[in-house]
Amino acid sequence: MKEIMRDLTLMSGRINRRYLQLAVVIITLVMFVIAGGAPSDGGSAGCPSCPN
Amino acid sequence: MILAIPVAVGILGGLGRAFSRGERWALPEIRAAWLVILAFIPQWLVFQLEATREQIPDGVAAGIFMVSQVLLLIFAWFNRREPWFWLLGLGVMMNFLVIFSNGGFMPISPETVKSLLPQGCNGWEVGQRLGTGKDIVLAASDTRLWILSDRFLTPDWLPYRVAFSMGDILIACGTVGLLLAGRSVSREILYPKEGSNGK
Repeated sequence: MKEIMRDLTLMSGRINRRYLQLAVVIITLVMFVIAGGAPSDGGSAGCPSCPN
Repeated sequence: MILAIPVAVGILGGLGRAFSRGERWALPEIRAAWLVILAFIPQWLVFQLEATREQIPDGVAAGIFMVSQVLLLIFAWFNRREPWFWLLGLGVMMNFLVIFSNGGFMPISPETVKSLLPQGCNGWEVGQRLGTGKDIVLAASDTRLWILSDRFLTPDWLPYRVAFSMGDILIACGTVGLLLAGRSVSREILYPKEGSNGK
């Protein structure tokens, strides 16, 4: 039982670390894309009737 | 937010590719991620957050925009050995060049603005910033490096019209490529101590 618990703890730690690393890369990439890109949908043009 | 699409496409594609090969989807470990946070937060305050974006003068906004692009370029340089980062860096470099050459905002032509906005939306002027966004409305003849400006438009049959630049295209392609390619990770790398740890 002790062995199983130890293995489970070890595995969950590794899985969590893996997902954490994925999340960090994806969030960083999203921020990079938003900050580095400069597309415009005109939504900030200050026109109240714009559906954008 | 159109640039969220390549992120979603890349994630789904990367997951699908890894699944079809019986591998685990992993991404390269990136360095100096704090530079991206440092670049993103001021931009978010300047261009996104309603409470602050109205308060910040255009000159300050332009300065913050350019500095944050430089930070992103440094980040891309730090990670240049990772696949696809060269394309991300090139895209940001193209955007930075045209933004820097035109006073700190991304130029967009009046014709593109007219196509972008529905008829009757007149809340813009040539030579002025387009609302509180990243663009400045400039005639093509007055735009330096016009080829790199926001001159492309999504097709008019799409309900969501967006103008974008060559740099944006490269950033989108780099994002999809990076997420799609991922990193092949064997079980030995994911679980390095299996069979050897604690024995």
